[in-house]
Amino acid sequence: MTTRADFAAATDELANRVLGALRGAGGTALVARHIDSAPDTLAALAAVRVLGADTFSPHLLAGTPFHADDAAAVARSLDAFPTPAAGPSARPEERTVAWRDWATAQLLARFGENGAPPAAAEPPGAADDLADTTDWQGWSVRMAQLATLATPGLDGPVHETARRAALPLARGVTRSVLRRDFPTAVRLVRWLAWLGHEGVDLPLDPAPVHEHVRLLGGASPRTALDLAVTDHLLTARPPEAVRT
Amino acid sequence: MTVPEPVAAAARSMADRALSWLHANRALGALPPGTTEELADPDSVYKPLGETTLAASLLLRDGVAGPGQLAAAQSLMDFTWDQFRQGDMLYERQLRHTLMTDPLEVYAPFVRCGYRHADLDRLLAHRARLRSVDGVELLPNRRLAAANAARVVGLDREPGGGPDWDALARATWLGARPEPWAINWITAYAMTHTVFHLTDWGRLPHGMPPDLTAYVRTWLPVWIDIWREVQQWDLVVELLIVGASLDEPYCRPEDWEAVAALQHEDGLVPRDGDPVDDDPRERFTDHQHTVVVTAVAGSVALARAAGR
Amino acid sequence: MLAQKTVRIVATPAEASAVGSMMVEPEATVSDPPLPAPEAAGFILALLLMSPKEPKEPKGK
Repeated sequence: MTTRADFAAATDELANRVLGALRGAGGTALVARHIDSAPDTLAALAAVRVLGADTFSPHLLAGTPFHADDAAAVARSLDAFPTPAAGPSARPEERTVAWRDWATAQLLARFGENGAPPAAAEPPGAADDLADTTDWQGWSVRMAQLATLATPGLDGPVHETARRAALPLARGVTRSVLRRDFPTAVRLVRWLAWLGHEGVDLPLDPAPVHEHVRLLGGASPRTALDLAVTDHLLTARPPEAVRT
Repeated sequence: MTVPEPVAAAARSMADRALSWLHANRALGALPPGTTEELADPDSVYKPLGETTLAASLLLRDGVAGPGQLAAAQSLMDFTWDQFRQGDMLYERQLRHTLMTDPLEVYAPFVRCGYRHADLDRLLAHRARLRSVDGVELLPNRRLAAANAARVVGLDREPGGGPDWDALARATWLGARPEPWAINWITAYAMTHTVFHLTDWGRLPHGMPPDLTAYVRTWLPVWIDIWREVQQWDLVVELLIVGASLDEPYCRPEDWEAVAALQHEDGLVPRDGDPVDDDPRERFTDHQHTVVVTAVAGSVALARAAGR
Repeated sequence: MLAQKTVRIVATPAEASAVGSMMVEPEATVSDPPLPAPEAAGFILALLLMSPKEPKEPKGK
């Protein structure tokens, strides 16, 4: 059995590959190479599943080609770790996982060449359970877990919710920075940057808090990847220019 | 949104019990015999006496406590006025230290409730006309404290008029509408005091510039949340006063009920999450400030709930 | 040829659960918001009416 530590190590390794590609290093088919070169294929597949939509970020943000072998590797990871049931009775965590898989499957359907989208491409409902932001603390923690969705080129019910929730997000950012929970803060700043990129008026300037959490946020590859996507969202032209 | 009913209920319980505690323990806050205007350690007794006076004066001003509580508040004012030798000590201290603001600040709550000292009034009026007094380099939130005390005493009705409140507000941390995630513990206290003095402890909700009110409304829920989590109750209760003092009050029942539930039967409210000492004198030293702010919070919220 | 030629792999429920938890990392439970710091004492001027008491000595945490 592969342990969680193995999964975490593989995830860091893939995050570093994706970061390298975002910065212009690396060759083609990085996802497929990640799987093929891994001593533990299951762990390598787990890493793809965990990074999810971020696996596509070199393609989405830097125009790196998305190889057919990469598409096959992403499909394999969805196959190896089935998406949990995400009906109305599902736990919030299960629905969060389902939304992340939805984002991955959306991008796979768009950039893969196999035509038929995977089952997870169907949205897991209307994001009703995310619409209520009264408990902005708990809500923003869930949005932090959904940070891989905060990327140009993805849009859906979760994004619609975010567009109406600039204030809860900004409060979530402020709260997580003050609690010194920097991994959460980095992910929420990413959403704030996404909103700014979408042209939504923000109650909080994302640039200084982004730099602040970069300096304090630690050096994990997953956090570095979130920061790199935020860099892009803060500096890129409005939406059309960054689409592939 | 006004003040919800559960908040008013919690506020009444907080104010009544806090006042009872301050009254029951007042002797622990008495000045040592023979105290003169030269205070070796002003923070030890003189400052707490001033704070107790402030709380009692606000309860009397707001008039929303029960009759027994109002009588206790009046009795506390009499007690602290006697401690200050019916104002003589404040007069002597102000006379000796022209530029210091604390005699004025301690005197102001007495004036609010009709206690006056003729010589001190004359001295303060003289002092208020001095460019030297105006030029003292106070921290901006301290300058607001002095300005509000002068307003309460009526010194702003002197020739030349009152201060430029907007300019005073802009000079504070809050006035810059800074990054809310970069606040720290002591700066949070500076922020609460900016609101206290601009609004004269909830009496003038419009005393804050509208953009600062909007800023506080935006971030206050976050600050209450993070300091509640680490049980910094003294600061949390000050933040509750801030919410109750806004043009459109921000009073979340869960926050108020949490503080009300924390209050001991005798009225003590612990300043933080640490164990409370059994020794009466230790209890007074450690928690008197938090009980004072609890009484003020209850009174201000009740007054707002009553539409005052 | 690359990845797609290999055998199909399916995670065990325990492995799937481990991956699921990595996808929904909870927030830090031990928070560290701004607390009274001894450095703050210098700023608490005497006679600041309604100011907090001076910060206690830090507890041995």
